[in-house]
Amino acid sequence: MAVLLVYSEKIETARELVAGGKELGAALGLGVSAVALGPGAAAAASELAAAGADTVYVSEDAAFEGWPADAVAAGLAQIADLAGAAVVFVGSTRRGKETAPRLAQKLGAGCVTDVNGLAAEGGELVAARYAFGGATVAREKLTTPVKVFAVMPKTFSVEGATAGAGKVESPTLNVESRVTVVDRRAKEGDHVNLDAAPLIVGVGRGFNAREDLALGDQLAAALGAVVGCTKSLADFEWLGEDRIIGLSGAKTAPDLYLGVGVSGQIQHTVGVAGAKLIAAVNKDKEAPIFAMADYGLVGDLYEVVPALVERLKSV
Amino acid sequence: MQIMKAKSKPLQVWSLADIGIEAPAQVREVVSNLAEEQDRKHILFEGTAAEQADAFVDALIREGVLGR
Repeated sequence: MAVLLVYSEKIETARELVAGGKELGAALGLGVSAVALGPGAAAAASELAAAGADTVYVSEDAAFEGWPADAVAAGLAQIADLAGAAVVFVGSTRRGKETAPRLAQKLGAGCVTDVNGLAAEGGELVAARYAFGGATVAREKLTTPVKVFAVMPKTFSVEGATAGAGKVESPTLNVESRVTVVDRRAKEGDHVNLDAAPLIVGVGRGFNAREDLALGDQLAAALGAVVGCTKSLADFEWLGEDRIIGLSGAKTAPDLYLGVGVSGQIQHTVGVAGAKLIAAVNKDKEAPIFAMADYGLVGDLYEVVPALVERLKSV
Repeated sequence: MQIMKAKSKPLQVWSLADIGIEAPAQVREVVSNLAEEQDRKHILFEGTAAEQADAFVDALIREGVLGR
């Protein structure tokens, strides 16, 4: 039986893709297999099986350390041939977006990246992704016999996933990377994982000064949220680039996104459209953010945010 | 001024065939490309900052986001 093959260097994303792939695979008559590469790959096999993979291909070859795109694509291509993959899901992370097109080229496959929705329609997979700077959603099909989709984290959920057979195979792969790692250092400044954050406070140009962002930090702490921002604030170097949400940054799908002093321009809101709940604090009742919000607080953030922090103390 | 001069320059148009390239087969078919529909509640709170904060936090508790 042909299979739907799943890979991501991030185990949480890989589990989500296996769970979603299992449901779609069932509709298309495809089994689901997963791939784990690099250090610790063997330990990931049981998690992927629990999420629904019937077979897990594992390789801890040194060439996969750091997951260089050329080596990973080569390894995935060999495993895809071995497994008889008709469809490959790659997590659309930074590394995944480098890997998926290379993999597609090796397989002679079509490729769609930044996929945020997938459906089986008429025996085919239809992928949804933002187009025209986030203004529209393009739904696309691939016409090649083998299809590669780079799928955004949190497109699927592992809730309710049924375990697969989880048979482990360790194929011998012929891979090498043309990239030599010269040095690896911890990134300076803060590091945050917005993709996985369940609660996000977004801050924008409604804040008058960099030091005022402390209010946003207090609100985030009171909510148990992570702080993200519009690109403007990163351009001002008020916050690091890791905190950008939107076209130039993270695409998030939190349980709650609360935008404070964020006007709601589409370049930013495309990064939060997948949130279960969107709320906003803005003194302009006509701000675009309110048109896409579930809840809106119209008022000066310098008054509303302290009131919110105070109220949250009693929760 | 330079833009106005550029406007009157001849425009060379080449097809793929002119430059020796065969058009690749289409591998993607666009089924639709439409503005996204967002199904949101659009609830705007009113009142003082404290009143709005109370109402919003109560809403988050009802939604199950807080107090879980």
